[in-house]
Amino acid sequence: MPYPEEMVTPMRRELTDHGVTELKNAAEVDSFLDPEGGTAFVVINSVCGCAAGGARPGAILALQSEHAPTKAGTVFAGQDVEAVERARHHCSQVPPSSPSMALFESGKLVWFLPRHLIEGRDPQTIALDIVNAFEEHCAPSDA
Amino acid sequence: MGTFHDHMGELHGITVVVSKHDGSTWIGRCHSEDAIEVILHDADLHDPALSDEDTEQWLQKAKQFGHWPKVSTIRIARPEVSNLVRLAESTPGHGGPDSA
Repeated sequence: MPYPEEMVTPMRRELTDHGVTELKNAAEVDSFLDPEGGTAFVVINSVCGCAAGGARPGAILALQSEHAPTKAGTVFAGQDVEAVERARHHCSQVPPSSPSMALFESGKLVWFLPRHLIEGRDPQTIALDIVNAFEEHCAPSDA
Repeated sequence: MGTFHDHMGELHGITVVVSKHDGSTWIGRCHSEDAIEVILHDADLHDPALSDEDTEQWLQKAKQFGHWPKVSTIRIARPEVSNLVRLAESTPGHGGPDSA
């Protein structure tokens, strides 16, 4: 059962206030992860404490880095069921968890940060993992 | 920092590996653990007798990408537990059976 929306709204806004696009249904997720659309970062948000203490602030920090992708989106687990199911469909090779984060290149999953690597870690450490993924997948190559 | 439910213990809400003396291993989100039992949610079981994969291979995949939540809730009697560790902190030989 979803949580009351008034409780969840601040958790959504923590990301959307930093330029992250909220994806509310399957069509929005598919459009966001369009194979022609380049690199896209997706945060699977949740109400749990590790989302508040680690995932959201870590993602926000990482999105300020030099090679962060221009496309950053979010779906909310337990709230926007259709959008989350669709996002997980695009990551079907990895187990579902929330909060979690994923990086896509041309619609294909290239990096995933599962919940257990968010739990108990501080935002700076989480951000470093994300920035490393951005460096690997989003930075222009030297060639 | 775990979750905001501090009264539930430091592993509440944390994904853990529970190794058992019989050689099987559970991964799940810890609800609680005490001298009586360990309670996990959204858990998966590895039994080397029933799997082509050995325990370390299974744990290594889970450590990289997470585990498949196949069992909603499982209660494991504490005397059956040989080791309990966070998945993120498990290391080869320290997440498997009788590695404590």
